Amino acid sequence: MRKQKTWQTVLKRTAVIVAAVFAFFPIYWLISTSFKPFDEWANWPPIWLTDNPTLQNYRIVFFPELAREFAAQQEGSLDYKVSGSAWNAFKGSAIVSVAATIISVAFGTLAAYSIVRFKTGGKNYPFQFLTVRMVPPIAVVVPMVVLFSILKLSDTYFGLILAYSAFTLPFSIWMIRSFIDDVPAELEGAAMIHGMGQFRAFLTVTLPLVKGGILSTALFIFILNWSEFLFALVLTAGNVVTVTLQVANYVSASSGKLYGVQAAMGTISTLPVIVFGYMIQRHIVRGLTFGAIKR
Amino acid sequence: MKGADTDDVKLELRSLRKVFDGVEAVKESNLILKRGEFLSLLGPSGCGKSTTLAMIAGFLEPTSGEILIDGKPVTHVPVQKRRIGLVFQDYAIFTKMSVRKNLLFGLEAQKVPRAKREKTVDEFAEKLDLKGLMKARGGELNMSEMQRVALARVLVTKPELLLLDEPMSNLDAALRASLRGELKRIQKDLGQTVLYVTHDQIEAMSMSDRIAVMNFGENLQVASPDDIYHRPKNRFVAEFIGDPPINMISCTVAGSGRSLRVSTEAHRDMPFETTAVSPGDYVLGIRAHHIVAAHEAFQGSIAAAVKLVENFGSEHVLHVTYGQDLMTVMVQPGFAREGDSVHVSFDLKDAHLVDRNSGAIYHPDEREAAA
Repeated sequence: MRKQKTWQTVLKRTAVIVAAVFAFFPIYWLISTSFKPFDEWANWPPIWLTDNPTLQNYRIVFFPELAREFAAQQEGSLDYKVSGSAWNAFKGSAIVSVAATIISVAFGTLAAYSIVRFKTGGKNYPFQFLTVRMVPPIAVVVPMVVLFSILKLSDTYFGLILAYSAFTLPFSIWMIRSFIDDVPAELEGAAMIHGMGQFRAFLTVTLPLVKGGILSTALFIFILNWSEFLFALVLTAGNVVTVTLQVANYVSASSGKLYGVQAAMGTISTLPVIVFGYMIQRHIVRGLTFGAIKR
Repeated sequence: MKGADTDDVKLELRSLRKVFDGVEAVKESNLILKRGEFLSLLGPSGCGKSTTLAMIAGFLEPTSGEILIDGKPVTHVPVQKRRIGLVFQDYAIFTKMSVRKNLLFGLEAQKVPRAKREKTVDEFAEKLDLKGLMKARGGELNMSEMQRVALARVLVTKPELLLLDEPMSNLDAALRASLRGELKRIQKDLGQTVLYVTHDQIEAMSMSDRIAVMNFGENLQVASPDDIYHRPKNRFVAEFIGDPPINMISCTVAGSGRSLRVSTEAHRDMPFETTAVSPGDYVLGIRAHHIVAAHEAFQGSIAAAVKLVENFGSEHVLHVTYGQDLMTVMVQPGFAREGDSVHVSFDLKDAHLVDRNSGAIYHPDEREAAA
């Protein structure tokens, strides 16, 4: 019996370790590469941890004009033409991601409330929302490009915000719906009995109770928006740049992708997600366990 | 009731109906609730009592019919404008707010001036013994405290009409017993008009001025607890009220005019005086405590074997054979044990004659006249 238990424990721990390695390796590789000098980026055998750490890649991210200077110092014919500034990309991503998250969560909350309390659309309506997510984005990209050019939305912040909001709304509705579902209707009923209208009762009673859920949904949606590449690629043309587009910008004609610079940009771009996550961590734990706690 | 002074009528339901997906949850309900009255809607789960309550509160739109409060139709008035108080079955306490905040909630929503708010809340905190709890958060309360907070939260707003939806179903029996008296006292003190929904006959019987017994969406009888118990109008009411349940014995009625004779399998030709019944097959309803039991045979008695003894504490309930059936008899503790033989009989002046088809109940004229 005891032997069996030890054996099971070992197996479980091994599984956890494998999962952790699987999850953390890309992050480790991203950070590690971002500090590697040029000639170590694509070495074989790979260099796990560089002996010559450098901030060169980060400098190029923020001061693209340094790239040419750097290229001149290298042996061989390096063409270090870096287009666009990281600042611009961060600004673009911040505007689009934040706005689209707010819109998605705001409308998602209202729609979810309506579905839960008024059974809007009938029993299967929430599932219909999810089917939107079953369509691979690539399938709708071409029609969207056409539509956006007709509507003159291409390469505008507004256009990209609209696209992101539309694509994340099903997630918002689906997630927030489960949180609102957990709030007994009687609580709002009690508020209404005491003289509040339905919407005011929702704002004063229900909203504070699902705050954690809404914030964790917001983080989730924000990550989706922040890391989105396909729509950003096809719906913009240089005016609006996002971090994911900027990562793809770090290529040179002669040496292919600038892995180190891309890694540096990637490392920096994960920071907002971590900061935002840390800020609302208290609520996320509550949000993620919301349904699990018995009233 | 129809003749009641209109000033006296707090709530009136006129042919109130509610249909859910083709199922009639409430059928043509008519009800009048007088000012200061305590009326219970009593019935089993799913009988439509909570649906009726939800319509009165405004959470459900009636399919047809009208609701009047103080003579004014409110059927289409939104919940928040009806000035009704409602205590929910699960109390719906705002768990993140302090008890004080909970109590202030309604007054703040109604924009009552601060000084008056505080004064009223303090007054009711005193009345409902919540003084020591004012700082506790809603989530820290136990069930009986929650119940008191829920009640106080509603009462501070001085509602025109107080609706209580099974407010004691979450409490244990001892607490329920003490709260029954408490609730009745508060209701009397305030002269509060109360509509109380319950499936518990003891709650309904002990607190109500009148009881409306409901089943399958239908209002079967609205009457005082005494009438409901002694003069039920139909079989469901007779069977739903009373513990142990009323004995129902097959019988035939013979004779003509006012002097009828009732025969059961074990008793022959017992006189029953009523003009309302014509001869035929009926069911005789008689309560356990109306049956006389003795160790020795007496006039009109029959021998009965004790099959089971239920101990109610202050009384025992014997399940004895009566013809082919079993019948319950209320006796003093220690009167008989399982396997004993006793002698039982009953007086038809305490009995009810139940029509086999319609379920309508007839009583001896004498008892009818006493009503």
